[in-house]
Order: sequence, then C-alpha cells, then structure tokens
Amino acid sequence: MGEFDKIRKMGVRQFLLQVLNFVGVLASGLMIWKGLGLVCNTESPIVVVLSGSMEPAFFRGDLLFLTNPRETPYMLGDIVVYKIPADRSGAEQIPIVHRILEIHTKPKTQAQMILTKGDNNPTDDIGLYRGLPWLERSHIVGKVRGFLPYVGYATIAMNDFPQLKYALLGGLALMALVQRE
Amino acid sequence: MHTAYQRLSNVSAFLTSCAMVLVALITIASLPPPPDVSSVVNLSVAAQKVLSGRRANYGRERDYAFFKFDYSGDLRPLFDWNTKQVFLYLVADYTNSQGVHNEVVIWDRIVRRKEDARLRIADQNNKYPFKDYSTTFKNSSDVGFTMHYNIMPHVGILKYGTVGTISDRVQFPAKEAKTS
Amino acid sequence: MDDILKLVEFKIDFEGQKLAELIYRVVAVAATLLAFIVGYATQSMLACVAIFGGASVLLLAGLTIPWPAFNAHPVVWLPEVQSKESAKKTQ
Repeated sequence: MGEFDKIRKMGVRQFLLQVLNFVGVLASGLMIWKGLGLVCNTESPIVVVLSGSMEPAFFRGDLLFLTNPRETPYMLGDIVVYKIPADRSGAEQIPIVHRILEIHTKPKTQAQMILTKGDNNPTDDIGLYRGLPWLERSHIVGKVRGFLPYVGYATIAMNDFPQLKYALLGGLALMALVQRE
Repeated sequence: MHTAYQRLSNVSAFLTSCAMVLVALITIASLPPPPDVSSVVNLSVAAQKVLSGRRANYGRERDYAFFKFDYSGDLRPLFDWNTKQVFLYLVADYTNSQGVHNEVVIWDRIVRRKEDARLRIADQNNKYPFKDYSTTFKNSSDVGFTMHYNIMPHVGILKYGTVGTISDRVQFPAKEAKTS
Repeated sequence: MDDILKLVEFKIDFEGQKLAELIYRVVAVAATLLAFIVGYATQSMLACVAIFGGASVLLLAGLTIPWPAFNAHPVVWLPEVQSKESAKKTQ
C-alpha cells in the first residue's frame, strides 16, 4: 500500500534513479570484494568455516581471512583452504580448511606436494583427495591469516535451515507493509 | 527515533559499529610478536627403526620410520588474553635420494590452557606415519627435528614461531629385514 | 489495525529522542573503551566480552521502553484555526 503509492507519486524518473542508486551500492560491494581478492591473490579472501574438523580452534560459522602470497612457498603448520577439482559429474567440491601435515618439494621445479589433516581428525586427508596422491599449489585457495568467531553463522544457518530464509523474507515483507511511514 | 522499532534499529547499528571498533582494537593490541620461548628448550630425538609395510590409502608397500623423542619446555609466555589455543608440532626435515626435500609433522598437540603449558614429554613415539615421498628412506640425508608452535587467537591474526631444534641431525636406521 | 500499531510503537517526544540518542552514543562508546581497557588490563577476554555484551543488552532493553522521562516534553500543537473556505463550506 504505502510503498506503491510512494513510487507512483515519485514518477518514473525518480524511481529509475532509486534503482540506479541501489545497483550502484551492489556494484561497489562487488568491486570491494573482487578488489580484496586481487590484493590477497585468492578467489575467496573471506570464508566461513563449514565443518567441525578443526575444532576446538575453528567452529562452524567462524570467519577466516585468507591470503595466497605468490612468491612465498607454503610452510608446515599453515592452515590452508583447498578445493579438490570437480569430479566427472561436474559437481563442485566444497572448500576444506585443514592444516598442512607434510610438504615434499621437488628438486628442479620446487613444486610443493602437500598433505593436510584436520586438527580434530584422527588421520590425514588422503581419503578426501578422491584419488589425488598429493595436493598442489593450484588446489589451494589460500592460507588462513586472520580469524573472527561466530560472525559467519548466519550463512550456515540459512543453508541448514531453509525455513529461516523464508521466515526472514516473510518478516521483511511484513515490516515493509506494516510500517506507518 | 520516535518508535521503539526505530530506536532498536539505530542502537543496534551503532552497537555493531562499536563491536567492529572493539575487534579492531583487540587485533591491533595483539599485533606485537609473541615472547621468545626458545630459551628453555630441551628436545632430544632418537631413531627407533624403519619397517616395510603396507597401510590402507597409501598404496604399495613402503618404508615407515619410527622415532622417539623427549621434550620439556615452558610455553606459558605464549598465553595472553587473546590466545585461544597453542598448537604445538614436531617437524622432521630431510632430503631423500631423489633430491626431494621433505618436511613432515610427526607429532602434534593442542594446548588449550596456560596451566597445561608446562610440558614434560618423555619417550614419545611419532603420532603420524612417517613415510617418504618415494617408497624408501634408503640413501636419504640425516633428519633434523624442530618444534614449532601456532598461536590461534580469539580474534585476529594467527601467529607462528619456533620453540627449538635439535643440535645434531639423526640418521635413519637401516631397514629391518622382514621376518618370514 | 492502526490502534494496535499505535500501542506497540512506544513513541517518545523530540526532547526524549535527543536524550535517548545522547544516552546510547555515550554508553556504547564508553562500553567499547571500558571493555577493551579492562580486558587488556586483566588479560581476560571474558571480562571484555561481558562488559560490552552487558552494556549492549542494557542499552537495547532500556531505550526500547518509553520511560516517562522521555515523554516529559510533549509536542505543543497550536489551536485549530478556522480558514475562510472551511467557514464558507460549513454555512
């Protein structure tokens, strides 16, 4: 009721200006995200912890800040986020946050062959590699430099409880209609 | 600000900004590097044996090495208000016959409280299977051992450091002949 | 519907709004600084979180309620003036 009247009163030009403002905000957000990815040399500079395999340090819903320094080799003990390449069905594998357990550096190329393990897991990740004997630098999204607890839990809750998504959208719609402004 | 909803919304937004400032303050306060804990280092490692065997997931038959170590040290200076846990890990490094440089974590421990940070470990076996990039340790260089730590904060930057290393490298023992 | 909304809105007058804004700005900034300083001094993250969290809860709960102090200066509306047109209409 209120919103549609407001829009009709504004006229087409004003409405389009509002849309442009909104799109401008979205575009700036995207620029900041991609710019951060460029600076940190990783496609996902900020990730949410999805599993409990790094407890008690990282719990589901914690936020991690990653970098992927180009010239610096990885070191043992680094906590890295890696992705196994998609399998034959094309299904994207989820990123995994684990600690580097072994590094084998080949003599000529200095290529690093990496084995990881979650702190909370009894054994290393070889079972997660789907046939790959070692991780290589190309599989690694970045290494964890910074940490912020709890902040990402909203995204996990939205995924695990889709009813929450609908409840939130419903609630927002209700508020928009009920506002007496 | 005249309706309760507006007050709630404005105050929440301001509190969120204040929370971000608080997080930034804590992160900045935690920037200085942690104190040096390498002064009280007592690390010694002894080789046990090298066996040939086959374990699930690791493919064909290969050499496995076994080492025992003793360690005592005081890691309490690493714990401050922003320390969530200290991850301690023992690293073996050597170069094998093919020229591949190997660094392997053979033991680790999570220390969650300052009270548990005075460690006295005796006669400890390696926790993880110690295997080579190729299938054998034959003709590999001697092994050096270093104990490292990783401080994981409540909020902020992760820090890494070294506790200590052994003075002389250890030789791989000859592979035990298979009995029947 | 409108009446229900009027009840739930907990309105406060303009002077009250100024007071409320002053209160939350001062308390939130003070809580932030106090939480950091006390936490750092006592080397206790629990103290830091408790101070900031406690202040947040108090602020949100306290300012939502329309205390009488916030309604002490209600808006004074001018008396109704009969315009010439509406006087003609009522004739």
